[in-house]
Amino acid sequence: MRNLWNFIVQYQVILVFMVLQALALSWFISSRGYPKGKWVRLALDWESAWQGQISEWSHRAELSDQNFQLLEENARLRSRMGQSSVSHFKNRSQFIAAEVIRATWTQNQNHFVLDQGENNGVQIGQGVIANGAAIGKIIETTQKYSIGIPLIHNQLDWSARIGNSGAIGRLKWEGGDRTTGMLFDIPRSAAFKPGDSVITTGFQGVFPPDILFGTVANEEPYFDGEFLNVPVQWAAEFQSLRYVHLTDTNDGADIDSLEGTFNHSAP
Amino acid sequence: MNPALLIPLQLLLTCALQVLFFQNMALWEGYGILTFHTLGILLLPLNTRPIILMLVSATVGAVVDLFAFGGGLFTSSAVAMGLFLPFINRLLAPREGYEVTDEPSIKSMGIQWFSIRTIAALLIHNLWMFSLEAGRWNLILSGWGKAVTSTLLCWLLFAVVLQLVQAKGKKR
Repeated sequence: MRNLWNFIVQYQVILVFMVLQALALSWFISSRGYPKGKWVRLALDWESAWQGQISEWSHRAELSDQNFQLLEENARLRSRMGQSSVSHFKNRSQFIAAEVIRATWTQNQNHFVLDQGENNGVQIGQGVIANGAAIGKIIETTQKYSIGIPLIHNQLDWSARIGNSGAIGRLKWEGGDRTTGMLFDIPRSAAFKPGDSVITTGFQGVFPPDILFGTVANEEPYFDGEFLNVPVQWAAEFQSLRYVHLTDTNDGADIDSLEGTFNHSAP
Repeated sequence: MNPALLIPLQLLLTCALQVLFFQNMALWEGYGILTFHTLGILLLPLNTRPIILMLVSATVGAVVDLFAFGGGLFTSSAVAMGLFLPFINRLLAPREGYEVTDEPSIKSMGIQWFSIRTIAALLIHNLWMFSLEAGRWNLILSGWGKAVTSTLLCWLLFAVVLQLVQAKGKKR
C-alpha cells in the first residue's frame, strides 16, 4: 500500500495527465466529430444568439430582407413543385428557408449553425440544400437554432447515384480537397463520363431523390477490387454558403425504424 | 490589479474572445487557425504547480470545446500543452532561476524568452490538436503544416496583443 502511495506521489503529474487525456479523448472519440447532446443544445442556444446578432450587424439590412423574401418565395415554390410531382417522396417534401450564421469549412469535421430551429419546424435528420445542391443534414436542434454537418465531414457516408438510372454508391469526403468527394463501390461495368450528375437516391430519408451532390470529376476513377471509386466535384460552394433550404422527406424516421426492426429481427 | 482576480479574469477574457471571435476565423484555407484561449494558459504564473496548470488547461479547453463544438479536441490539446509548459519554463529559466516578481510576459522576460516559450508551447498544442483532428494518416502531414503556420500566426497575435495591453517596462 505504501509503495502504491509512493508511486502515485512520484508520478502524480503524469497520472493526472493520463486521467485528463482519457476523459478528453473519450469525449472526442464518443462525439466522432458530431456535436450532439444536451450541452451542445445549451451552447447552441447561447452562442447562436450572439452569432445571430453579429450576423445581423454585418448585414446590409435592406438587401438582407430582400434576400430572405426571395428565399422564402423559393421555398414555397419548391414545396409546390414537390406537391405537383408524382414521386412519393416529393409529394411529402416541404422546404424551410434558413440562414447560415456560423460555420467551419476548413476542418476535417466541419459543421454549420442555422438561424432556424424547432419553432420553425426544423427537425433532426432533415437535409439541407442550397441553390438545388445538397449541403448536409441537421443533427441537433434547439427552439431557435439548429446545427448541421455538411458533405465535407469525413465521418459521414451519403447514398448517391450517377445520373437518373445509373449505378448507386457510397459518397464520402475523405478530407483534404474541399471541392471533391469520392463515390465508392461503383461496379466496373457502370457507364459514366466526366460531367455526369451525381444525385441523391432518397434511400437515407435525408434528401428527396434527385437532389444534386455534384458531377463526376474530370479525373480517372480508382480501381478497388471489383469496384470503382469515382471522384465527384461538389456542386455546392461551401465557403460562400449563406442561405439554405431545409427539406423534409418525413421518411428519415420511418426508414430508421424499419432498419432497426430489420436489425433486431435478423438472426 | 490583485493577481488573485487578474488570473481568472485573464482566463475568462481569453476564453470569451476565442469563443466569440477567434474560433470563427480560419485564415489561409485552414492554415491559420487561432487559439486565443491558450494565451490565458501561457500567462499563468511561472510558479504554478504542474497539476494545477493541467487542471486549469483542461477547464479552459473544455469551455472552448463546449462552445466551439470541438468534442474534446481543445481539452486534450490544452492538457498536452499544460503537461509540457513547466518543462519549457525550466529549460528557459535564467541561470539564477526565476525571481518571485517574474511574469511570463514580454514586459517582464523580454521578447526572445516570450517568443521561444510561446512557439514551443503552441507547437505542442497545435501538433496535438491537428494530428487528432486529421483522424487519418494521409491527412497528418497537412495537419502538421497547419500546426506550424497556426503557431506562428498565434505567436504574432499574442506578441501584438501583449505589447498593446501591457505598459513598457525594463526588460531582463
